[in-house]
Amino acid sequence: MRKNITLAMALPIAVVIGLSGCGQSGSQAADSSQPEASDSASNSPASSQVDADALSLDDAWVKAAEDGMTAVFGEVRNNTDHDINLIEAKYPDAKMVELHETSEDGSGGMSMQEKEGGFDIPAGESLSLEPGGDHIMIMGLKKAIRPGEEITLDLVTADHQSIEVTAVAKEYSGAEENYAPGEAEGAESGDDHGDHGDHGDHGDHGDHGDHGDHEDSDHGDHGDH
Amino acid sequence: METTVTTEQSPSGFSRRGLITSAAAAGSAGLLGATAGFGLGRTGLGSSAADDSGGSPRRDLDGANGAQVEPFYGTHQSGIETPPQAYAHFLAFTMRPEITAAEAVRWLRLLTADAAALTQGTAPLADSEAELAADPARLTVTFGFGPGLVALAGKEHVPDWLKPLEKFGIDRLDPNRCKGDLLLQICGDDPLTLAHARRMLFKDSRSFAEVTWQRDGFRRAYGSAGEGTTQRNLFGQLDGTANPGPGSEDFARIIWGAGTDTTEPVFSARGEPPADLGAHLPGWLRGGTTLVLRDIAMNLDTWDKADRPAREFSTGRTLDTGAPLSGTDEFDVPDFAAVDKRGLTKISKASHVARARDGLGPEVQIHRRTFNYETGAGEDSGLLFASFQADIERQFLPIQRRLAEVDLLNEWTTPIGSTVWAIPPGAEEGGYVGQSLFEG
Repeated sequence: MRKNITLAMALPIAVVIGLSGCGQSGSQAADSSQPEASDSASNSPASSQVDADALSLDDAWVKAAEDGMTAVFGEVRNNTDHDINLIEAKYPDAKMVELHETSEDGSGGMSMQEKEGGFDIPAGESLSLEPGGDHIMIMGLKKAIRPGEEITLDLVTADHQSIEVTAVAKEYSGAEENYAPGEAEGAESGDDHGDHGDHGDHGDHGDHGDHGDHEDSDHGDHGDH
Repeated sequence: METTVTTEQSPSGFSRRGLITSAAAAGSAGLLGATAGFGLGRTGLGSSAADDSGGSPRRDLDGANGAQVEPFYGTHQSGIETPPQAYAHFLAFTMRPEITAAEAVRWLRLLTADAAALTQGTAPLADSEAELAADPARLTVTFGFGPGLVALAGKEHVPDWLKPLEKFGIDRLDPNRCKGDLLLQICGDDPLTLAHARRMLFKDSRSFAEVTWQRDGFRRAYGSAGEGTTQRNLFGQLDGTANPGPGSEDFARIIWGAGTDTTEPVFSARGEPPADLGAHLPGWLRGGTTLVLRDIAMNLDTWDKADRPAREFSTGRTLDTGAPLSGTDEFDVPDFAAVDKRGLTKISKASHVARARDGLGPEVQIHRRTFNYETGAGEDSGLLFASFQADIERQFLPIQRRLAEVDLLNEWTTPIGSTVWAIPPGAEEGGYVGQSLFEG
């Protein structure tokens, strides 16, 4: 009810210069500036895609990591009228991916373990994957995930549907997998860097089943994968 | 001599300040048609809740400003034509030496996504203090590119003017305040929101770059004075009287470098600015502009020794209303020929206003979006002088060169930092700031 009235009227008129000039500055950097595409989607194997709208991972992000472990977060949305049981996630550039839940360990810390039976997402609802809560755990990275990169994962449902999702990498200090107060990270050791670039065999996730023995241990100490 | 200020209705519906000058002033060439473009948006001058109600001033208890948002996506970046907010953080980064163009693009994408969310009051991805993103309070994040960042896209894209300004005799520059590859101008009306935004943008920058320098500035708090009211600097002077009004044709020409063809030209005090000031900008900067950011230390201790007549003499304006010494209102056009009873010019030839304006053509105009700083009692005080203009050579440098030669105000002011930035156009939704450079 006061003075901004004039301004409010003035602003909409403010300029439509148009971006017509933008496309005219030559071919220059286009090549060098767009390896994003190859960083992200290109090396994901074409899998049995289903209705990509059935399940989505909104606001997806992954904690950037040089090696070792990391985790993916976001909002898993069930866009169908039936319940969905998410039983697996696949990421080609890591040795192992698990669906994790987090629980308090009774001493102010948190512990995580593989979610028995995967995540159930009721029809029309969504599940938040977030630091300190449920998440998609990636272990044994074969390749660094650097801030700003996009990675592609496949979410697999109990009825064998596979949905491709992408997540952008963000630098993040939390989500250390070891939330016990006072303990430092310590997850640096372990995974060999030797096989960088050698991930031709990522179709092979056959060893998933027999890793049930690690989750009761301290994930911060991950040298023995 | 009498000067009367009236308000008149323009064809486009703006209420704007017109000038009916006395016989003496009307005789001066250049004043005719001097309808003040800079008066746009200033209709609230002097009004307040108290004026409206006739009662005592009321506090705003609604928190109404917390939810206010400025647009992020668009032809132009926000934070330039946006009416200045109460606070500003200027944050300059130097890229890590080994950075590639692809990495810079990843960085810009992250920052764009952060800024797009934060300015709309939404937490960006991986925001560990998501609640602090609420109440944007007119948050804006404005990106400026230094030569190093532009060169990553190809050296041929670096404009000639994107380099340090020439040396001026008045400068006492700290080299550490004169560099940077990326500038973030983060402005808002709420300092807590601003701190969170800076933290978030910093966290998403530190794997790509290091902070080179940073400065915090402030103006009047939101609600203390009507929007459009010219701010005061720490010398007590009104600062920014000659700015073109937001939304005006003048603003489009002076800052964005092209006319809009949608509004009638409003001739500012110096005459009609040309419509081709942005013609020199490379394609990737269409819709953008240039920024010269000067960090000007102000010596409050020696200013204390100057009494009011000396202060006004040196500026050429009165301190209370900001009127030129030849006039009575802040927006009166200075009459550099006006003489007093003794036959001396009312405005000294060496005064700040005379040096900055007298004899310079209508193209020599800038938009100053300034913020004060004071780091503590008895410590540094000054002004973050952010000057936006389409063409540094034609618009900024003629003024700066003259002020460096002679300006009585130089007695109390010292430039200690100076940077030049290319301000790219705004991002399109789904795109990122700088896309026209890296993918043009």
